[in-house]
Amino acid sequence: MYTIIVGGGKVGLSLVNQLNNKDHEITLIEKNRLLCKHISENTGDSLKLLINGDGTSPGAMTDCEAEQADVVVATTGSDPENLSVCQLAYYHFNVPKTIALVNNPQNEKIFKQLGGVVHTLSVTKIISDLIQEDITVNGIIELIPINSQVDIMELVVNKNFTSDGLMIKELGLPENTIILSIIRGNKIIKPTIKEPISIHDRLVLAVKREHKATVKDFFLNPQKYWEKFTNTPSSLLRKQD
Amino acid sequence: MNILVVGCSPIGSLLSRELSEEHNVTLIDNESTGFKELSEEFNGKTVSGDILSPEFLRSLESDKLDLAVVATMHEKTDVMCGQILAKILNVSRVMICVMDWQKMDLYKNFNFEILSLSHMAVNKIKLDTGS
Repeated sequence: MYTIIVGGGKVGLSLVNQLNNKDHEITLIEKNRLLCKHISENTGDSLKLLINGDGTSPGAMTDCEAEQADVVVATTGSDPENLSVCQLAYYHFNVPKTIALVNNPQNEKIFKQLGGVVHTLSVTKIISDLIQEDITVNGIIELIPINSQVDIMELVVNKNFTSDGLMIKELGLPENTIILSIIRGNKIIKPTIKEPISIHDRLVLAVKREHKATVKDFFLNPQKYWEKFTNTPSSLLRKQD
Repeated sequence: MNILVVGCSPIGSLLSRELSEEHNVTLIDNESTGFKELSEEFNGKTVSGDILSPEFLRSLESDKLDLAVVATMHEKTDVMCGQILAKILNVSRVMICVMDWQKMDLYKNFNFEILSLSHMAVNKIKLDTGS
């Protein structure tokens, strides 16, 4: 996998360190000469290539063979610059995956509308989302946003879930919600539709963002939802009584 | 004509002053930059705000514009602003002023016209020297 990172600031450098393994070849492009010097002295051999240049210019992209790249990540502190990097890589070097750091959250939507940016990463948004979420209250933990639409979350089945032992297919999960895995003690269980859910199970879920509030509410007050179902299994209704 | 000029740069301010004699000109720039360079003869409207915000641009009645000229002279900002005006707000004619002639090709597929200041200067000199 060949990754080009533009911008040698904190985000760019952390990425270099995170991706530093045998499966990744990384090139870093940074404009500031002094910063480049510092980087070259401190990153050891984790970089394939370090370019002191402008990531929005075809010259630098040609130098690092951007047409071979699998991913280009723009991590500068300037959104117009990050947009330029991604559009250059996507439209002129046919890089299949471009990721832009979004410093101003309003630009997330704009980048999508303008094109050339496959994924956006808004640090401000992730942090403010985390603050707004009741992170550990109610046993629900936000894990990671997959893209602007889908999140992974983890929750612990609590005692409000009076119907201990219901099978997944009987749960009546809200739409666009999938159980990816059940963690029971130290065991990781594959969630087949017949798998019974017990209190204290940890569920890892993929959830459409627009349904997130519903999903949380569902696991906190499941009865409210079960009552609505016309096709609720009779066994379930009895258990609730 | 209804004309929007983005950026009170040397070009933006001169252009606004000249055009405002005959046209309905609105000159905008970021709050921090201000309109210091603007001549008193300017006969139009100035508004400060976030020039990369579609909501702000829309509030200036972007749907009634005949022409928008983007000239903050920060190339990437100009290119992004030009794209927002042309692609998101569908302004019929958008021009951006670019210094770096080597980047001309990069922007030719966006829905705006590019004024290369380098080319203009060079062409003028070539013409004057008869080459």
